[in-house]
Amino acid sequence: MPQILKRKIPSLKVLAALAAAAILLPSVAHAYIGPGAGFAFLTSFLVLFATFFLAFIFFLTWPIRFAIKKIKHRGKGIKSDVDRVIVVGFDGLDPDILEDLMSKQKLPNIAGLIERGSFKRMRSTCPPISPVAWSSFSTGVNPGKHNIFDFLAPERETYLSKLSSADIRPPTRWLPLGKYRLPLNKPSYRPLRKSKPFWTVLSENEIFSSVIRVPITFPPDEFGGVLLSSLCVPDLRGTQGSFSYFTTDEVAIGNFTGGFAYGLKSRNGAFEGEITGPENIMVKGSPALKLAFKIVPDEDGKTAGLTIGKETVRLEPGTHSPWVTLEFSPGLGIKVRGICRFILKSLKPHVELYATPINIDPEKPAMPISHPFYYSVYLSKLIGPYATLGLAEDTWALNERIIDESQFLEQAFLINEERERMLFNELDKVKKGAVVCVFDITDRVQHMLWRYIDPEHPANRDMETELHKNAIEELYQKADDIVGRVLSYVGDRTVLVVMSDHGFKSFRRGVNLNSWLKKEGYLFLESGDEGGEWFEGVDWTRTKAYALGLGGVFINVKGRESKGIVDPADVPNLVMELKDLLNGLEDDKTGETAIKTAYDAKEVYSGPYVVEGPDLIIGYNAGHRASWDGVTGKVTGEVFTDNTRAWSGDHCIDPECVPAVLISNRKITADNPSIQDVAPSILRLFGVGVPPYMDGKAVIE
Amino acid sequence: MTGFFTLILRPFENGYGTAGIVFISILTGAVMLFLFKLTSNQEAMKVVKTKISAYFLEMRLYKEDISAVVGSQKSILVANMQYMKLALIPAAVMIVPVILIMIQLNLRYSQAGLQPGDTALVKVKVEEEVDVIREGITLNVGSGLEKASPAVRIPSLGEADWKIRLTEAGIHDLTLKSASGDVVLPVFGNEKLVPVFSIFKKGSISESIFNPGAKRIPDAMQIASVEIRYPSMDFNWGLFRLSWLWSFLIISMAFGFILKFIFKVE
Repeated sequence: MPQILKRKIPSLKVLAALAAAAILLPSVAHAYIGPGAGFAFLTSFLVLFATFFLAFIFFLTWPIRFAIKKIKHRGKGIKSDVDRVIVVGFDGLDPDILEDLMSKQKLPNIAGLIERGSFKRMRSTCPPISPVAWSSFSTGVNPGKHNIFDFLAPERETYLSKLSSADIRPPTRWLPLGKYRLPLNKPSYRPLRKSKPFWTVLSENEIFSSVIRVPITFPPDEFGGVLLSSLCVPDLRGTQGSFSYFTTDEVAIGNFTGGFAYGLKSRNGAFEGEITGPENIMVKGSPALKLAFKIVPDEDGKTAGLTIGKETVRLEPGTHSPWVTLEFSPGLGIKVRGICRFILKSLKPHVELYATPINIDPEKPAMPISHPFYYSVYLSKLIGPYATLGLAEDTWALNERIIDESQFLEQAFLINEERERMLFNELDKVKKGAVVCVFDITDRVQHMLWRYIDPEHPANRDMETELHKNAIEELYQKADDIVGRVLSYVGDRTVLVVMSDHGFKSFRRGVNLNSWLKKEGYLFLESGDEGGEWFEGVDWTRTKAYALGLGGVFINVKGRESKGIVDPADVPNLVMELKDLLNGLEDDKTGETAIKTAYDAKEVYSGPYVVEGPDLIIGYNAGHRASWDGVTGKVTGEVFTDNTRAWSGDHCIDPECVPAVLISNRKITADNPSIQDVAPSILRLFGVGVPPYMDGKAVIE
Repeated sequence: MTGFFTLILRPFENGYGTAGIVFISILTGAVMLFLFKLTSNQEAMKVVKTKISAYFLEMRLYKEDISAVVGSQKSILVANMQYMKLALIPAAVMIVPVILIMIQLNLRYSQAGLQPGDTALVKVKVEEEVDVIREGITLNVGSGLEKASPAVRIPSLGEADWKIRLTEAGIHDLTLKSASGDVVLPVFGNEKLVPVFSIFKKGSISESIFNPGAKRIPDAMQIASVEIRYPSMDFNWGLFRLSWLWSFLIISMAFGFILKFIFKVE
């Protein structure tokens, strides 16, 4: 070793000398600080360069783009005193509850907005169901023109149900490659909602729109604006939301409605399981992709570490984990990414772990969930991972008592926080144009916690009824808080619309229409008194009518249904006959009117797609709704049953029982506006002509 | 440090200079990257980088709105400053080992030893206010070297210069005698890639850092420095030749970039 290195050197002097070294070394070496920090500074430089370059290009081309825009729209004469229209939708915000809380001075912001502008009860669609109502909101037309009549639509060939809003099909051409097969074409995502949403019409007039989580926007529309899809976006498994429940309790393993239970294996003090992902369509037989995970309990016996791949998250008992990225590998280096949250339910006596449905990862979406496709990526980078599933709040997990009300509320509010950040980001960005955002929390929480405000509800039997008594009131106050924050963005040239798609009522009793049809001799089983789901056991050779979904009755028409027996010429009489029988139908146990009105579809709908919808729409009376079994086409021995599920509030009833809410800072001119009037109103506010096909009228001045 | 580098570069001493620079560059790239990961706030850097990419997408999404675009640009600049700030601490930490490594590489790869027949200039500078004529500096060369020119003394610069020629490969002695003392210095004429000391000064902290292992001029002597000018060395990369510094920068950065993904460094 050189002698010099053996000397004792005062450390401060050494550091001072080393600091001086940067100045004394040759100029190229000045900049060199190793690859790590070197890349950091190099990246910074590149970012600066790119920013200035893009700014230069932007400002250089802006006058040209502005001129092209002006020339393109010369003569259209768009004149408006409005720069921005903000639509804040609260799914299921009920006017009765709203007025009650306002009278108690509990909603100061909404009350203040109404004082400045107007508030009307608004007619929803028939049936008043979110996909139907929000489709009429966005297109300004009745269901006969937009083709959405329910969540589900019947497959006339098989009598099975299909999603009403989107048709998703896998690739059709494949290249075999050993045990794999490579898709040669893309999967198909076809929207089934017809007509044109108002943001497309605005876009044709060069008016920008931001559309966040408006139901029935999957697959996303292409237009001049940004859109994040909502209702009917599937989870990564392709379902409308399937939770997973992992347990060491073998008795609990089985299938739930809306979810699956799986076993956990104990090994060396840890517990191992597999998360089931999407089907691997690249392998023949399409086996499900799996992702192994391990739970290692901490010494305290309450918390645990959950390891999936290289990521480990801490699990606190009874509360949601952050979003965890799940990366599935179908092969050939391809990755499919999803995100989910976990709740460690217990470690003793059994280990129990709940996982939310696997949401499509918005940062690397497996299918189109936004327009442009990178809008979801942008939001993910800006605010972090967020729920992308159409029905993101896991109502099924609470219905099946896999999670409790507190955990459901926590989940709903976590999702709501994400939504708020999206809305306020758009309000910061879009100074001219439309900003539309729908909050689902109001719908989901009222569905699941209504029993707390209805002491007589059957779901309260043997259940705790006090803990969340104020949850719905607090929910409305949350909505009021959001409105208050939005109001700070509202100036003279901004129109604010606060609205819902329907109201809410209690769901105490279920009506199984298929059982009623059997009882009345319109539907027959091949044998026995009970059938299975999706019309299993139904004798179609004798069945004249069947019910599917939340409010539709279909005639088994010859030539339309594959096993139809009713002559098309006899359909009007049969519809009339059923209508007469169903109108005012009484609950044989309570004596209450179960069905207020049965509507003939031909009378309430108009347009080219009326033939696609049900023949009769059932307007249940408040307190009643289609029973859980009846919705899925199951014939049971009883027509009327108690609803004992956590899903205790509903709105899939007669539209007159659940009017929606329309509030604006401007004057609403109609006394009894319809949800179809919102789209024409927004177009007129921007000075854009209302297309003649729209059924609604402009009602906001 | 010099001993350590001599040890790890020993396999490359016998004419494998290019392999040596590649090896040390890759090693440095990996070590520096690892050090950067350890000393930096990776989580914060990831967040800021993600935000920057979000703002770039934002500029594309809201391109029709001047205020939104300007806002995005402002956000990018702010986030970029945050990113640079996050890189400052690890950079400050890493500058120490990087300089030490570069000093070692500079000793080995900046200058080539003399080949038989090559000449080199020997420049001797006396201390300030010392008369170079009165100091009477003389240069004696041992076997393997010969004087190629007589002494040139420049009193105004306090400098005396000679030209020497290598006649035989190897490390040979060169003796400087003056009124204040004598010093024997090495002249490198070997084929091996070993540290080539070209500047000799009196012992000091900066010398021990920047010129480690070099022979020192005795404090009693009135000579400030002796410089032997060797031919500069560069590396042949086929289509072009580069100095050790550029070769090192490019190779270490390139491998650092590859390893960045393996080590998952932001």
